[in-house]
Amino acid sequence: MSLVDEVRAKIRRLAPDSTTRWTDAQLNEQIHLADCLIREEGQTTWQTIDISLLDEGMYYTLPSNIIAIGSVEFSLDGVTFDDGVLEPTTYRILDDLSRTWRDDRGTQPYHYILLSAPGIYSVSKIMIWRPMADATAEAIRINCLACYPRNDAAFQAVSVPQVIQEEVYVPLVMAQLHAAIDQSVFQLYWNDYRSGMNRVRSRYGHRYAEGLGAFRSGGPTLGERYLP
Amino acid sequence: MNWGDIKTAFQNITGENPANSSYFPESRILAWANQSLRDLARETNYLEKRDILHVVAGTQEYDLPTNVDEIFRVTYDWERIRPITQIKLRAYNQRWRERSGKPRMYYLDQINQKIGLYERPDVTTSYQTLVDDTGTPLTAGSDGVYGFIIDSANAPSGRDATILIDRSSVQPIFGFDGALLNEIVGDGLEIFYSAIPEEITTNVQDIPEIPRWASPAILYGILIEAYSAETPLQDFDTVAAYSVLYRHIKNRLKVRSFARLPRAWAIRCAHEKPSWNMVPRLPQHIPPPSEGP
Repeated sequence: MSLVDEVRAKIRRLAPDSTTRWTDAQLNEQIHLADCLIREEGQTTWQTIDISLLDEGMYYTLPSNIIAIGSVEFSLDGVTFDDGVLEPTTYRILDDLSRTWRDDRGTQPYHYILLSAPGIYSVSKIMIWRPMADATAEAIRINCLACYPRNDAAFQAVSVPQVIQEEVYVPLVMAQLHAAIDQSVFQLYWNDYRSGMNRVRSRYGHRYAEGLGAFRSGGPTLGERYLP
Repeated sequence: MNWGDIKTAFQNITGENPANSSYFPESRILAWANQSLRDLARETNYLEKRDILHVVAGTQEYDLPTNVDEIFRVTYDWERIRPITQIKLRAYNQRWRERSGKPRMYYLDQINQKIGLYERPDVTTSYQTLVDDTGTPLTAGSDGVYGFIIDSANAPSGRDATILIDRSSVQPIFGFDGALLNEIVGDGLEIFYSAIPEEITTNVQDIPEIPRWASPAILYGILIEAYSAETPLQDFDTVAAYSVLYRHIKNRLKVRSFARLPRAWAIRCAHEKPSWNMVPRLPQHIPPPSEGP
């Protein structure tokens, strides 16, 4: 079953007389509102978006389903993205580097800057430097946090694990529904949602993750000190 | 969410249909929507834009776009120029307005929404306009799509062919001045600024200028105003509940706006050196160490 169907069924179970208060369409709408906030704060939905580079093209419009950018990779053939990673920079740093950086062209971009927070329809842009002097098939791949900007068929088909639905979707939708009806109930569900969000975020990041700590340098650990 | 979605959600929550409600006509909730949008943009600084103004030789001041909130960077002929005030220019030279040459500084007149250049430019911006094969500039239709016709003499199989250009696909290279697509060749005045969002109109397809994940904030902004207004719907407990949701999104938007680049990748300038105001305070020479007891 899809996220929308499952969360709606859970809400109907919590509020048996809800069919007279809210239609299915109204609940779907509230689930979509909740989904926007949960995907932003939960940071669990990552996508890749490829943009083909143009001759001397510097500013490229970003799709509006992006919430944040994680990394930007470069590909010479537009297929295999293993030819470099673009690093974020600022106009100030580029100005310090060279007064005429804006005139530079090259065979591969090394840096990017964002203009506007990502996700604004037809406004948010990424600036790459250096732009391609002569582009053939080159492209950049944006690894980004994404959302479903509309309550459409694509959103209706999405599925989410049961535990996430129960931790955050149900409390937030119930809070939204009760905001205009009973504020004590709203507060109860809102508090549930806030603590549920913390748990969801810790589930996405592995609680026993070792990461770079496994490659640490320095002295022996507490256990190692007692070795002969 | 577009304006149609927001309006429907408002109607579903309040039971008031903006098409025939006497308390909440569409014009009123639209005004509240635009008010929320401006509030979010001003407080969280999520919206930045860039424009290129065409400079005319001998003209010192230029009109700023109406949606400018705060300018944070200006370039002339693609090189950064520095901000200064008219008072400082006057203190430097009483006849500063008479000087002309390549601008190195700019000043702002925010009351009259103008930007001024010092020195006054002595050349006009050069640019080339995108034209079709007959030399006619490409113009945009009402849908924002640029198109041109290749006449039968140059088109394949001897027939007129219409070619349409999507504006967003040519924007990395071409700017646009009104309806014309053009490419600045030199001496343009480029401004970067925090912008005031464009107003939402009654067109149900209008998409507000806000990150799309944050668009529920506009709905909550409208609901706060609707439940605060002196109508039979007035209820300040409900206002408090929607304020929690509104402030939550605003705070998240601040995170996304002020921390756009991953923190772990923050780059520092490698050649940091003492700033200018530090230099006069440095000792002229290092005194010898005093003798101990």
